[in-house]
Amino acid sequence: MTTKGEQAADNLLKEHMNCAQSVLVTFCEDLGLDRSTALRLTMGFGGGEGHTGGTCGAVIGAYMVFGLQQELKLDMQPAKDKTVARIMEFSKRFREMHKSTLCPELLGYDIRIEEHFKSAVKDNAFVKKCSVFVKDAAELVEKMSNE
Amino acid sequence: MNKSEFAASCMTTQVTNCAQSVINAFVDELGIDRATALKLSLGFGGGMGHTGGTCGAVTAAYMVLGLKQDFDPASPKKNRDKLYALEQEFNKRFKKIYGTVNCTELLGHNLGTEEGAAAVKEKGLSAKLCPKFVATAVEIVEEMK
Repeated sequence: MTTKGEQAADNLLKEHMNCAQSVLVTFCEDLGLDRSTALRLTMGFGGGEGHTGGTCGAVIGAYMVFGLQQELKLDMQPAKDKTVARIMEFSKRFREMHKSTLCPELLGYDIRIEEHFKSAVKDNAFVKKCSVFVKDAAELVEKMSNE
Repeated sequence: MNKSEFAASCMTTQVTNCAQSVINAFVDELGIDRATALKLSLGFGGGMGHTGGTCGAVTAAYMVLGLKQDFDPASPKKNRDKLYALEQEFNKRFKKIYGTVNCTELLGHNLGTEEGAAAVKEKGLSAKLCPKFVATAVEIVEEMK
C-alpha cells in the first residue's frame, strides 16, 4: 500500500500536478472535498503562490487540510484556534527539516526572476526538490493527524 | 451591499477571518459549498495561521481566482500559467496600494510572536486595518474578471 507521502509525490511526478495540488488531492476526498474542486482551488499556489515568492505550495496544501479536518460550529473560534495551533506546529517541524517554508529559499531559485526559473528547470529542481517537499508535507500531515 | 462591503463587514464584526471573509463573498459562484470553503480557509487568517506569511485576504483571492478556472487533467499546465499571470497582476495591484502582501508588514507587527499579537490586540489593528485589506482584495478580484 502506498503511503500518503508516496501518493503526494506520485501526484507531482506522474500526474503533473503542482505542489499544492499534490498535497491537497492526497487528502481531500476523505474530508468532503471533491477532487475536481480541490484541483482548481490549489491550482494557483504552485511555485510559491503562483510564482510570487511566497510560501511553498506543499505547505499551503497542508494548511488547507488542517482546516478541512475541523468541525465547524456557529462559534468558529475553537476550530480556528485548533487549526492555527496545527499550522504553527507544522511550520516549525517543516522548518526543522528544510530550514524554511518559503519557495525561493527551499528551491534555491527565486522563480519570479526569468533566469532563475530557467536554471531551476534546467537543474530539474521542480522534480528533484519539490517531490521531497510534497512527500514530507503529506507525511507530516498524516503524522500530526494521528497525534 | 456589494461584495467588498459584505466581505469587509464580515471582517469588522469578526464573524470570519480575513481569508474566510474574501472567499465567502464569492462562494455562490465557485462551485463549492460554504461550509467547506469556510473550513479550508480557516487557517489562513493572520498571515497563514500566525506564521508571518501572506495576508489571508490575498491567499483567499488566489483561491477564488483558481476556483473560477477550468482545470483539464489532460493538460494540467494549460490554465495554470494563465492563473499565475492573474495572481502576479493581483499581487502587483495590491502592493501598489499597500506596499506589501505580507501580514506582518501590513500590520506592522508579527502575530506569530507574543509581543506582536499583544500589540495588534491593544491597538485594535485587526478591526482597524484588516477590513480594508479584505475590501481591496475583493475589489481587485472583481476588476480582474
